[in-house]
Amino acid sequence: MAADVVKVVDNGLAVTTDRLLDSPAGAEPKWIDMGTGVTPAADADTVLETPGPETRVVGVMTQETTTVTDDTLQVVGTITCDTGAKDITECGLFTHLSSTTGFLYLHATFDSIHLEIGNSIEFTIKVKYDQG
Amino acid sequence: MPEQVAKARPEATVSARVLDKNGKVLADLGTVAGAELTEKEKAEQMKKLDGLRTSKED
Repeated sequence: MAADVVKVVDNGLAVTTDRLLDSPAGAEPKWIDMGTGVTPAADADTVLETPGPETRVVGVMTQETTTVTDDTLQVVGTITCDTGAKDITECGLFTHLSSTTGFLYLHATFDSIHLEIGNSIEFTIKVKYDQG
Repeated sequence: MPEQVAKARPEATVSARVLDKNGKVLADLGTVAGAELTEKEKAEQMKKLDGLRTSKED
Protein backbone atom coordinates (compact mmCIF):
# COMPACT_ATOMS: atom_id res chain seq x y z
CA MET A 1 0.00 0.00 0.00
CA ALA A 2 1.34 3.41 -0.98
CA ALA A 3 0.69 6.55 1.00
CA ASP A 4 -1.93 8.90 -0.39
CA VAL A 5 0.30 11.85 -1.34
CA VAL A 6 0.28 14.24 -4.28
CA LYS A 7 2.96 16.86 -4.87
CA VAL A 8 3.70 19.54 -7.39
CA VAL A 9 7.41 18.72 -7.17
CA ASP A 10 10.32 21.17 -7.10
CA ASN A 11 10.81 20.92 -10.86
CA GLY A 12 7.08 21.48 -11.23
CA LEU A 13 7.43 24.88 -9.57
CA ALA A 14 10.07 25.75 -12.18
CA VAL A 15 7.78 24.51 -14.94
CA THR A 16 5.03 26.75 -13.58
CA THR A 17 7.07 29.94 -13.63
CA ASP A 18 8.60 29.07 -17.00
CA ARG A 19 5.16 28.67 -18.55
CA LEU A 20 4.25 32.22 -17.45
CA LEU A 21 7.01 33.70 -19.59
CA ASP A 22 6.33 35.22 -22.99
CA SER A 23 8.45 32.50 -24.60
CA PRO A 24 8.62 29.48 -22.30
CA ALA A 25 11.74 27.38 -22.62
CA GLY A 26 9.93 24.17 -21.73
CA ALA A 27 6.78 22.35 -22.71
CA GLU A 28 3.46 22.10 -20.92
CA PRO A 29 3.06 19.23 -18.42
CA LYS A 30 0.46 17.21 -20.30
CA TRP A 31 2.01 13.70 -20.42
CA ILE A 32 0.65 11.19 -17.91
CA ASP A 33 2.58 8.15 -16.73
CA MET A 34 1.82 5.47 -14.14
CA GLY A 35 3.87 3.03 -12.12
CA THR A 36 4.13 0.64 -9.22
CA GLY A 37 6.45 2.45 -6.80
CA VAL A 38 5.28 2.75 -3.21
CA THR A 39 7.61 5.38 -1.73
CA PRO A 40 5.45 8.40 -0.92
CA ALA A 41 5.72 11.26 -3.40
CA ALA A 42 8.17 13.96 -2.25
CA ASP A 43 9.07 17.50 -3.26
CA ALA A 44 12.47 16.56 -4.73
CA ASP A 45 11.19 13.73 -6.95
CA THR A 46 12.21 13.96 -10.61
CA VAL A 47 10.85 10.63 -11.91
CA LEU A 48 8.35 7.95 -10.94
CA GLU A 49 9.89 5.40 -8.60
CA THR A 50 8.93 2.39 -10.74
CA PRO A 51 7.35 3.47 -14.02
CA GLY A 52 5.36 0.84 -15.87
CA PRO A 53 6.21 -0.33 -19.37
CA GLU A 54 3.22 1.47 -20.84
CA THR A 55 3.86 4.51 -23.00
CA ARG A 56 2.99 7.89 -21.52
CA VAL A 57 -0.26 9.32 -22.81
CA VAL A 58 -1.06 12.90 -23.64
CA GLY A 59 -3.76 14.36 -21.43
CA VAL A 60 -6.36 16.97 -22.25
CA MET A 61 -5.50 20.20 -20.45
CA THR A 62 -8.18 22.67 -19.43
CA GLN A 63 -8.73 25.50 -17.00
CA GLU A 64 -11.41 24.76 -14.45
CA THR A 65 -13.01 26.64 -11.58
CA THR A 66 -12.73 25.29 -8.04
CA THR A 67 -13.03 28.42 -5.88
CA VAL A 68 -12.46 31.39 -8.18
CA THR A 69 -12.71 31.49 -11.95
CA ASP A 70 -10.06 29.42 -13.75
CA ASP A 71 -7.99 28.79 -10.62
CA THR A 72 -7.44 25.12 -11.47
CA LEU A 73 -5.41 23.30 -14.10
CA GLN A 74 -7.00 19.98 -15.06
CA VAL A 75 -5.37 17.20 -17.06
CA VAL A 76 -7.38 14.13 -18.05
CA GLY A 77 -5.88 11.09 -19.73
CA THR A 78 -6.29 7.33 -19.97
CA ILE A 79 -3.49 4.76 -19.83
CA THR A 80 -4.14 1.16 -20.82
CA CYS A 81 -2.38 -1.78 -19.18
CA ASP A 82 -0.92 -3.62 -22.15
CA THR A 83 1.91 -5.69 -20.76
CA GLY A 84 0.91 -7.78 -17.78
CA ALA A 85 -1.53 -7.33 -14.92
CA LYS A 86 -0.21 -5.01 -12.26
CA ASP A 87 -1.10 -2.95 -9.19
CA ILE A 88 -0.74 0.75 -9.94
CA THR A 89 0.35 2.88 -6.99
CA GLU A 90 1.74 6.07 -8.55
CA CYS A 91 1.23 8.47 -11.42
CA GLY A 92 2.95 11.56 -12.69
CA LEU A 93 2.58 14.48 -15.05
CA PHE A 94 5.54 15.14 -17.31
CA THR A 95 6.49 17.77 -19.86
CA HIS A 96 7.49 15.24 -22.53
CA LEU A 97 6.58 11.86 -23.96
CA SER A 98 10.14 10.60 -23.66
CA SER A 99 11.41 9.51 -20.25
CA THR A 100 14.85 10.92 -21.08
CA THR A 101 13.68 14.46 -21.82
CA GLY A 102 11.88 17.15 -19.86
CA PHE A 103 10.65 17.36 -16.31
CA LEU A 104 8.29 15.80 -13.79
CA TYR A 105 5.68 18.40 -12.78
CA LEU A 106 3.50 16.39 -10.39
CA HIS A 107 3.89 13.06 -8.59
CA ALA A 108 1.13 11.18 -6.76
CA THR A 109 1.12 7.93 -4.78
CA PHE A 110 -2.01 6.10 -3.64
CA ASP A 111 -3.55 2.78 -2.62
CA SER A 112 -2.96 0.14 -5.28
CA ILE A 113 -5.35 -0.02 -8.21
CA HIS A 114 -5.35 -3.47 -9.79
CA LEU A 115 -5.29 -3.58 -13.58
CA GLU A 116 -5.70 -6.61 -15.79
CA ILE A 117 -4.31 -6.54 -19.33
CA GLY A 118 -6.58 -4.43 -21.52
CA ASN A 119 -8.04 -2.46 -18.64
CA SER A 120 -7.29 1.23 -18.24
CA ILE A 121 -7.16 3.99 -15.71
CA GLU A 122 -8.62 7.36 -16.59
CA PHE A 123 -6.74 9.86 -14.45
CA THR A 124 -8.14 13.30 -13.68
CA ILE A 125 -5.39 15.44 -12.21
CA LYS A 126 -6.26 18.84 -10.79
CA VAL A 127 -3.90 21.54 -9.55
CA LYS A 128 -5.62 24.44 -7.85
CA TYR A 129 -3.72 27.65 -7.19
CA ASP A 130 -4.52 30.08 -4.42
CA GLN A 131 -2.75 32.98 -2.76
CA GLY A 132 -0.88 30.84 -0.26
CA MET B 1 11.37 48.49 3.30
CA PRO B 2 11.17 44.70 3.20
CA GLU B 3 10.82 43.05 -0.17
CA GLN B 4 7.28 41.95 -0.87
CA VAL B 5 6.94 38.45 -2.31
CA ALA B 6 3.65 37.24 -3.70
CA LYS B 7 2.79 33.65 -2.92
CA ALA B 8 0.86 31.12 -4.95
CA ARG B 9 0.24 27.71 -3.45
CA PRO B 10 -0.69 24.76 -5.65
CA GLU B 11 -2.96 22.12 -4.18
CA ALA B 12 -3.36 18.98 -6.25
CA THR B 13 -5.72 16.04 -6.36
CA VAL B 14 -5.78 12.89 -8.47
CA SER B 15 -8.99 11.05 -9.31
CA ALA B 16 -9.21 7.71 -11.07
CA ARG B 17 -11.73 5.58 -12.94
CA VAL B 18 -10.93 2.03 -14.02
CA LEU B 19 -12.23 1.02 -17.44
CA ASP B 20 -12.38 -2.32 -19.22
CA LYS B 21 -11.15 -2.85 -22.77
CA ASN B 22 -14.51 -1.68 -24.12
CA GLY B 23 -14.44 1.54 -22.15
CA LYS B 24 -17.01 0.37 -19.60
CA VAL B 25 -16.41 1.83 -16.14
CA LEU B 26 -15.42 -0.97 -13.75
CA ALA B 27 -14.85 1.32 -10.78
CA ASP B 28 -15.15 5.04 -10.23
CA LEU B 29 -12.72 5.48 -7.37
CA GLY B 30 -13.11 9.21 -6.94
CA THR B 31 -10.15 11.06 -5.49
CA VAL B 32 -7.28 8.67 -4.75
CA ALA B 33 -4.67 11.23 -3.72
CA GLY B 34 -4.89 14.69 -2.21
CA ALA B 35 -8.38 14.59 -0.73
CA GLU B 36 -9.43 14.51 2.88
CA LEU B 37 -11.94 11.70 2.68
CA THR B 38 -14.33 10.85 5.48
CA GLU B 39 -14.00 7.39 7.00
CA LYS B 40 -17.16 6.36 5.16
CA GLU B 41 -15.82 7.63 1.80
CA LYS B 42 -12.49 5.90 2.38
CA ALA B 43 -14.22 2.64 3.28
CA GLU B 44 -16.28 2.81 0.07
CA GLN B 45 -13.13 3.46 -1.96
CA MET B 46 -11.32 0.53 -0.35
CA LYS B 47 -14.29 -1.71 -1.13
CA LYS B 48 -14.04 -0.75 -4.81
CA LEU B 49 -10.27 -1.35 -4.83
CA ASP B 50 -10.77 -4.77 -3.22
CA GLY B 51 -13.36 -5.53 -5.89
CA LEU B 52 -10.81 -4.88 -8.62
CA ARG B 53 -8.30 -7.19 -6.91
CA THR B 54 -10.75 -10.04 -6.36
CA SER B 55 -12.32 -9.83 -9.83
CA LYS B 56 -9.10 -11.22 -11.33
CA GLU B 57 -9.71 -14.42 -9.37
CA ASP B 58 -13.23 -14.92 -10.75
